[in-house]
Amino acid sequence: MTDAELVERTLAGFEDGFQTLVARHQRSVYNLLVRMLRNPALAEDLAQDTFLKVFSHLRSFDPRFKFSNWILRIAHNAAIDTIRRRGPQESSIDEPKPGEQRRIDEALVDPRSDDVSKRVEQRDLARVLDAALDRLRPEYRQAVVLRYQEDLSYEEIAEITGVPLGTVKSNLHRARAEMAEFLKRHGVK
Amino acid sequence: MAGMSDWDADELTRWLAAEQDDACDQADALFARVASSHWRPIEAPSGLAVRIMAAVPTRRPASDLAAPWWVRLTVAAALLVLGLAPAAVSPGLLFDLASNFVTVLARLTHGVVTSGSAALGVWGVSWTLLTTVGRAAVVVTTAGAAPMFIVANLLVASAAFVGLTRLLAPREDCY
Repeated sequence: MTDAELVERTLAGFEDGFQTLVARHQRSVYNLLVRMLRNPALAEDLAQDTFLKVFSHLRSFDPRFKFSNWILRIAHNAAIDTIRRRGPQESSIDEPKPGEQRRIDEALVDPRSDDVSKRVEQRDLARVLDAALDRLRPEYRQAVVLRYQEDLSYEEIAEITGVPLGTVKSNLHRARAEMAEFLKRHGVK
Repeated sequence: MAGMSDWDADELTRWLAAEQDDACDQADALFARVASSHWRPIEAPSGLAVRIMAAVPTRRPASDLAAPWWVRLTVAAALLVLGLAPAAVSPGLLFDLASNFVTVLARLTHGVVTSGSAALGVWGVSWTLLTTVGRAAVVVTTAGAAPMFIVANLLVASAAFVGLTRLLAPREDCY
């Protein structure tokens, strides 16, 4: 059953329609929120709020558009509002959070080796990428998550985040460059 | 070191090189491949779906029918008319209006059915109806305490409009 059909089913009064929508999209919503906010408990609360907003505005959903993009846009707006309310809490790219440097060092098994495969294990690459992502500004983080974890096009990211297409491209370019720089600085070359 | 194959390492190295060379499209494609094989999205905590469904209201999603401004305006206008009616129309006048209306309706029907020049007939009859109602409105709105009632009802309708707007407005922009 497609998302649009599930929306119709929910509007007709069948709860299982919305239940399926939640099961289908909770991962992408939560992933975006937790990546943007860097706070699992807050991300969980906002994910719940997002789905409640979706439910209460379900009649305004236009089936010509993708439901997944609609819900991600609602989640994105909620995250942006929260970030604005909390104010800047960004740590400097050069200042690892407490304990993080040790985790990165552990992940990079042998930083002096010439062989990349000997410097970083598959499991640990994810941790290093996580750490690199954490250093990015929220607008870069969201672009990276939507592009490389949700596999969305530039146009879809622009639609979800409400920023011009050119800005999406430049945000992604800068985000990747900063992540690459982070990896190199920590021994991945 | 187990875990990362040569191919994987090659992708990572090529991505970093592409970034260094400012080869944007290539870097985009290579990083997408690195991410898809090594960088999984964070899974939602178990129980989140249950928590969401427990918080979802049991009723159907709210209708947006009442949300547009023109619906609110129509409701307010209807309240105004309902308020004005008892204030402005006396039983005698109501009877006169009703009888005039019936007469006009009969003429209208007659005109439409029998007249060969239906358009002219309808216009004449409609004009009669409008002038009758207009004259009656002038009489009642200027007589006795009617103006005060009208002002009071205007205030009530305005308050209703403001109240409805606040009640029906979505709390947050969603899309």
